[in-house]
Amino acid sequence: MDLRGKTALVTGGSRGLGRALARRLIGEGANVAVVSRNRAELDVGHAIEADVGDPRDCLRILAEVGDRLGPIDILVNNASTLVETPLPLLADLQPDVLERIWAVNVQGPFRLMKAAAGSMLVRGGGVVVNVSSDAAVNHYSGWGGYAASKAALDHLTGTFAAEMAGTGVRFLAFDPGEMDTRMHAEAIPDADPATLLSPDFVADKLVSWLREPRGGWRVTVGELS
Amino acid sequence: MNAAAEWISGFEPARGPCPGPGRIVRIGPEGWEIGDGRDLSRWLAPGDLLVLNDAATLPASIRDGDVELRIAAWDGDFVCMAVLGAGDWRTPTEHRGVPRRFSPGDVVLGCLRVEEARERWFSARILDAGAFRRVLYGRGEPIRYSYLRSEADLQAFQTGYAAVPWGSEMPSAGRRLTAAILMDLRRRGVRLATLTHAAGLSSIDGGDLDGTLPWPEKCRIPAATIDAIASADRVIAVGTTVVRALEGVGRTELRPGDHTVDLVLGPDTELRVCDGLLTNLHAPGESHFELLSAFLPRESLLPALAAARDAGMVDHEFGDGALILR
Repeated sequence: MDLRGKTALVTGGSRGLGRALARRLIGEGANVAVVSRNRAELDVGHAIEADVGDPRDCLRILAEVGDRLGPIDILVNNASTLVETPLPLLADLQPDVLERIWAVNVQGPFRLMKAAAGSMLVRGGGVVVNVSSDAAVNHYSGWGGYAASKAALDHLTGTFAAEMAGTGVRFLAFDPGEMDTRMHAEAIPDADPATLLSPDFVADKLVSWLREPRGGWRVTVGELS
Repeated sequence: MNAAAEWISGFEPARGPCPGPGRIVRIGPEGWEIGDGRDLSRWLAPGDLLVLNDAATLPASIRDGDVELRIAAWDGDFVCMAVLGAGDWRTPTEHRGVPRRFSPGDVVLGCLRVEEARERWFSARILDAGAFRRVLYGRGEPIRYSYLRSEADLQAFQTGYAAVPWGSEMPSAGRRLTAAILMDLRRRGVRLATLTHAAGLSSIDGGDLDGTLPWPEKCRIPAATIDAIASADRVIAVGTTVVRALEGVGRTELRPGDHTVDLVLGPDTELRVCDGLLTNLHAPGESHFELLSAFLPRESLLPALAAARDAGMVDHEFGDGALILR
């Protein structure tokens, strides 16, 4: 895909992978809208202050992008929440916290990808990238709520891919590995940063995939190296 | 003779969103047939082009104290709002109270400044677009009419492919085109293209102002759609908004880009672009029926619509449809 002139929406765009990705896409000539809950933190692309966990905000996000930049060609559901750290065992996780995790990590991404995919279908193509995690395929103690949400998002991605095969609309669940980000630091405060990937490095890999989509519906950053 | 005078009674309205593809009456010069939403693939052929309006429906109704404001038109930094008085959407429009009058200079919703005001509408400059959108999507609602029995939310008023927030009301003809139906049509060689047309209000006051509708509306036609039209066997508009856009722009030349159209179609209109129309049912006697008459004579339309009514098909935005093929 030639990224010049394409309209991209990146959620969680104020820092970490989202911000690095938005900057890369702008560098490739795409028109990029970024979403974050705190507008003051948004310093790249067309800024949209919104909470993907809020249904009305999701409709506003879609309206803002559609009005300012046009129909979406690339959607990256990157915004994710752990809600609370230190991460609790499932037996200690409160049900309303799981609902919030679900709202941000599953329902919001679904609202956005449903709308984007519907639009991409009638225009003949587009890409939806849902940021995944190793936690989606393993059972790490303490990560249960977040991990379940990522497994759910993976499953939506794979089923969308199966249902829309051949339409030109492409879906990718992307596992970015462990990155040196604030989210990681909140979850694992004593991790050695030297063992973590830089968000810029991961963003580069994802952009290389966007330029030439390859492989199946789920890919890890290691497989792209 | 006014076509409405030939009607004994019209359709029942759909009271809200209902599951399932609904029914469609296919009407051609040779006759009519009633089928369901999935029958589109039988009635369309490879090489046919469906032109869709990808306007997303705005939460165009917002309360301001004792009045309800409805977005009648929005272009860049300017918005025109209809003003409705006592009552709400459950009250028939013609029974709404007389609203209070706005004045030039008034600041409304914290982000609009009134420029010109009349008894039931005002135009305003948008002082802060982001704030306006936050207010609309924060507590605005889709425009609803009193025949509805459910308070369906804004999501229910979107087509599956909506992308650009230009619709004061839903371009409802395309609501029945689920992804499943669209994928099936594509597999069978039916092609798809989009344009964006700012679907306007279907009613303002239930009286004199309604007689002035539709107002001029903006539209945007992509170059790819112009190309698709040039190479299509049959061009089928999904919705009257698409007809107004294509025939309005096509009056001079079908060029890509942004346009304003105000063409009102009727039985004497010579169609230059559209070979067919997929639309929702409406009672005759309205401008909608006049537009259908541009495609087929009354003698072809009336028996088919009467049969649809007698078969219990329902009208308005969540209702059943008609596929008119010349």
